[in-house]
Amino acid sequence: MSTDQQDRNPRDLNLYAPLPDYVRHQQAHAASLSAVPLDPVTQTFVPGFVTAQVSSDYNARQVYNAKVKDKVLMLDNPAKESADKKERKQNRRGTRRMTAREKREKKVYEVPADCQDYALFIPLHNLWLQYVEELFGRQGNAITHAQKLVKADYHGAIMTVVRSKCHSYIGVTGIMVQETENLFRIVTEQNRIKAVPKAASVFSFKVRNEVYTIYGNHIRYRAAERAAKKFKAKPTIDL
Amino acid sequence: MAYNPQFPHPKAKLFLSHSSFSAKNPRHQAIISTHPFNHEAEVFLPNTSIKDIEKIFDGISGFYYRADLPLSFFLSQKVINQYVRSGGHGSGPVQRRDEFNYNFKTKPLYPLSGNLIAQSIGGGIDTDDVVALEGNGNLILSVTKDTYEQLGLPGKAAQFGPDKQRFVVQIDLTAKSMVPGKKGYDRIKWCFENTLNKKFTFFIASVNSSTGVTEEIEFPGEVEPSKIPLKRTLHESRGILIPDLNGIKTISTEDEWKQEALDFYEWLGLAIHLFANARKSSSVQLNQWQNVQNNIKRSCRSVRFIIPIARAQFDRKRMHNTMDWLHTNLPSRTNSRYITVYLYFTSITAASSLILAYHICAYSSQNLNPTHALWASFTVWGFQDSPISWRHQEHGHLVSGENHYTFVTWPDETYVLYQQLGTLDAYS
Repeated sequence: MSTDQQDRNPRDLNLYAPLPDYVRHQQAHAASLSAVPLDPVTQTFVPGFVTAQVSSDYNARQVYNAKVKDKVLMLDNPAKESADKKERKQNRRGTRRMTAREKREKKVYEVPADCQDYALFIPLHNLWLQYVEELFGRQGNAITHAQKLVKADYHGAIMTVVRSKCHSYIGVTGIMVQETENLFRIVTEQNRIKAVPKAASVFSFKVRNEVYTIYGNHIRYRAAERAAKKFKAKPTIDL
Repeated sequence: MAYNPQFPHPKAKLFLSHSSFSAKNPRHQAIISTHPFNHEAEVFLPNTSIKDIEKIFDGISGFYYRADLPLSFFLSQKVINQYVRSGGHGSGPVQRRDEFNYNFKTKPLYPLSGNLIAQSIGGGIDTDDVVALEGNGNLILSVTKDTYEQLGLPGKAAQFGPDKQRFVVQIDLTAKSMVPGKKGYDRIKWCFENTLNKKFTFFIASVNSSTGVTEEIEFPGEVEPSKIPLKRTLHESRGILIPDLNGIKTISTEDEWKQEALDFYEWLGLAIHLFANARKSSSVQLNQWQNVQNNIKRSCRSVRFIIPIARAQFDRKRMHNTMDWLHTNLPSRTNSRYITVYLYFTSITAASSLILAYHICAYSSQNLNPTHALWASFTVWGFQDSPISWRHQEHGHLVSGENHYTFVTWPDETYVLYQQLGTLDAYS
């Protein structure tokens, strides 16, 4: 799909807007492209031949339409693409994926220096508060809220490191901007991004005059994984 | 048939050393001044009279405060500049009272226990958080694992106790960087105001490092300190058999000397114990042996490890036997005209201990009664919950946290020093 800026009209950005015209045209074009090349002799010969061969117990026309018409029978496995041909095809397309090393070098997942601004993330925090309000609903007590929070997303929460085995992490407070498998990236009020490991740390945040505590050792999973994970009780909350 | 498991004794240690007050490199000053947290001192003077005593020991006075302070008190600039940094590090030798005309050629080897000293009380060194401030401005926080994980200050795991269950944080208040605006100072201040803002009960004293005199401290308004003066009580008794210490005075490296010294130490401990009991219950006659036995029995119930005996176990029967045996084995003499005097001081700081040492030395070398002046001894007890013992070495508490010392001096200024340490101590 084309992503040109000119094609986007403000009214067409509605989620329920109809598909643009070129898509509908492309559909017909795509159908014609994927059509199998047919010999005209086959086209005339096959229907007659098959219907004649079918035994009288079955409806010949129906059998032909269901089993033969527009169907392709592979007589042999298609030729496998060799590795370098595949790579050439990929490179030609121009959609080469980045390796992990390249991602690290290019700092794809890090917050750029000009965005390390606490004020910039305050709207995110407000959004998170609304999200939590929706999550909790109107009813419920602290226990049910806590259970919901286990699977919730924390991006935008104002977190504080309350306990840690490493003394320098204690007291780090700010809006959480990134969550990875083992880390929370928090932007502090001094406009610095602090990467706090989840292991051997205890975090807390305040929602609706209730303070919730997260034991970092127990949530060392990616945010998406955590939503689907069944949590078992760990033997200790000791760091 | 009951089986009682036999565990090895927790080994306490006793260091014996000997020197002289007028030696070239005086060790006594180092020993006394690097032992900052003391709470009791006792003086044992055989064969003397009250008149002599009063003349000499009148000059020892002082006071300390008991206050509930938050730790941020020690960090306030006023306290640092006025009390902690003042006087410098051992600026001068302790001044003596002129009437004794003493000439100690002392060179301060260590910060002369001066300035602000504080020790938090009420928490055990093995169970709770303990805070202490040494004379040289070193604030020591010996904290539990829970507190350390919330505190936010760098520290090391303590040597004693279960693995990584206790941590020691040391802060040098006299460093140049202890000024508001510096990152280190601000971090410490934040921690004391947010993560560890509870109030500790301290025994706190400000000692002038050159004169050894305790001075007043100004506390912030909301603190209600109680000023406690140095209490001195005096007891005397007649008819106590005093052992003759000539055998110990002639120092030798043989086992016999060591054994005699240890025996005397036990005797001294028992004698002090009797006096201590007398201190608690006024009407006790120490002459009669039977009464002595009763006293020992009574005081056994309230056992506080005051007694500086080398063995950790306190066996009543053995004590009787030992006392008996000591009386028979150590040559002793007594003169009914003279009395044994026992002085007891509370809450003594190291500087005062040093002054006390000089006074005792002065007394014993005065040779007021040359025929009867035998020996003099004084003992200083350190806090059982003190985080350090001698020379900034770490100190812990297992069965007991004893860290005290005894000087036994003779008229010619020679002395034998006994240093008693509990099991968990890094000094030994």
